[in-house]
Amino acid sequence: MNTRDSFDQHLADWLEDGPADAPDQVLETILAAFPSIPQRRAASSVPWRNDPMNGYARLVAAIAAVAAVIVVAILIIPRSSGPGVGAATASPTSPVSTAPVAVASPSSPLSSPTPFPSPPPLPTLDASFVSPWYGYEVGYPSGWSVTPGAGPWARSDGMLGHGNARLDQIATPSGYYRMRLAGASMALPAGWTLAKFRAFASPPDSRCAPLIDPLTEPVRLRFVEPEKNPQQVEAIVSMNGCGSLSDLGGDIYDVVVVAGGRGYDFTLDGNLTAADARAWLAAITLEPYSAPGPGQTPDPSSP
Amino acid sequence: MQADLVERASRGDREAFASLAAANVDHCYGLAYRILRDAHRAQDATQQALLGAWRDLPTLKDHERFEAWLHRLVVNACYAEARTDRRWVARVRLISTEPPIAPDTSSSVADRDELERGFRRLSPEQRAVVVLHHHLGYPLTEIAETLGIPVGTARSRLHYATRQLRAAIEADARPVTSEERTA
Repeated sequence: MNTRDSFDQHLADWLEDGPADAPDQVLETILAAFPSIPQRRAASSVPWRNDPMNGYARLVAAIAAVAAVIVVAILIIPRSSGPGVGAATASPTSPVSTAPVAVASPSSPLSSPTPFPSPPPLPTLDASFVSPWYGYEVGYPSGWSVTPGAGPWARSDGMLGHGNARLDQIATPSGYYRMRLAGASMALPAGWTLAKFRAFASPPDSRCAPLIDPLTEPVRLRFVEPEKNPQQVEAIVSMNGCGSLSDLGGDIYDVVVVAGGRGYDFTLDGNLTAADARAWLAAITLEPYSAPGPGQTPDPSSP
Repeated sequence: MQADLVERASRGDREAFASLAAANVDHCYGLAYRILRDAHRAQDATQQALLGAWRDLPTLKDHERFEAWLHRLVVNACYAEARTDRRWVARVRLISTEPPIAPDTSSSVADRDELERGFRRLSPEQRAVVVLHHHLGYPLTEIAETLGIPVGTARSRLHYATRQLRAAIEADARPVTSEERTA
């Protein structure tokens, strides 16, 4: 009936019929919001010199370079005597190493300040949310919006994406600089490891950056079981996908951890620094025994 | 003119960026709408893309490539919008309650409805390639460069998307009884 050319033309005509102008509020929102957003620093903002340096300038530059090497050596040598040769160190190109420390975090090595303004820090976590379905408790700033998830999370649901109603969600209620924590967990089938759960709950997103570890120190979450001392379980933290995929803007931290036979998946996104992420993760307590079992519903008397 | 605005905006000139945003917002919205087929989500994607442009502009090395770079931000924002509830919609069973539509040789309203339905069944990645190629007139090499994918991938997406659209239009002429996936 149709030739290939006529089909393509028909398709192009159909696409052409869409709107030509954006509603006014789109531009208004952009113009109102962008001045409060800090720009990223360029990879190389210093232009190459075109004019040759004279001899005096070369001498000054050489002295400055030698002095810089000496200072760096003095700073580095005492540190290198601890873990020994070949010990892993934070990469200077780590995307989070440039973030200013917004919340006191004794274990965080992420303390180098940046010359541009940063989002406001994570406020004090003075309220507590107990997940009705997923067996964990987390602190959050009072006044933030809390939406318990419509659990449970079953394997047939697959990965839970942003905005999925099954996720517990805690977020800054308004403003441009918003942060969000979303979480859910499921009872794991026998034999599922952390790696297998991670592949299920947080598969790599190949559209943007490859998986990288945004936190240079291991992240351990608090895990309690009845009649046992609290433990710490190590989580895998990745920055899965590029920032533009987050509808709040900023970075996306994916955190997966297994404790007490449950697999937990937390996502922190928005305009939060690595220090904010660490501080919020430190406020989580995993309580897998408190999650409703198969066929059960949350205990209405629980807090 | 635009290159000058890009240059200034990348150095933090807010007035320049405001001019850039005003000059590009309609184009971005048009692109987002054609990919998402939803006005509200297209607005969100447009805002996300242009705010991301302001934030990341200092990292754009070739200012002459601003437009293609912005298209990439818009497409990524559309992917994010589509991903927000794709998993919900994917599990919705769609059973057509409409009577089968007879082929319309006049290529009018019925054809457009069929195209709309067929297009909504495409993945966001396929939609982006179709819109860039058939609406913006990008050749495959330009699509590949804009989206950061191999040319072969762009070709494959366009081929299968076109084939799916043709098949959808033909299938819509018959009763629909199977479970369909939408994005």
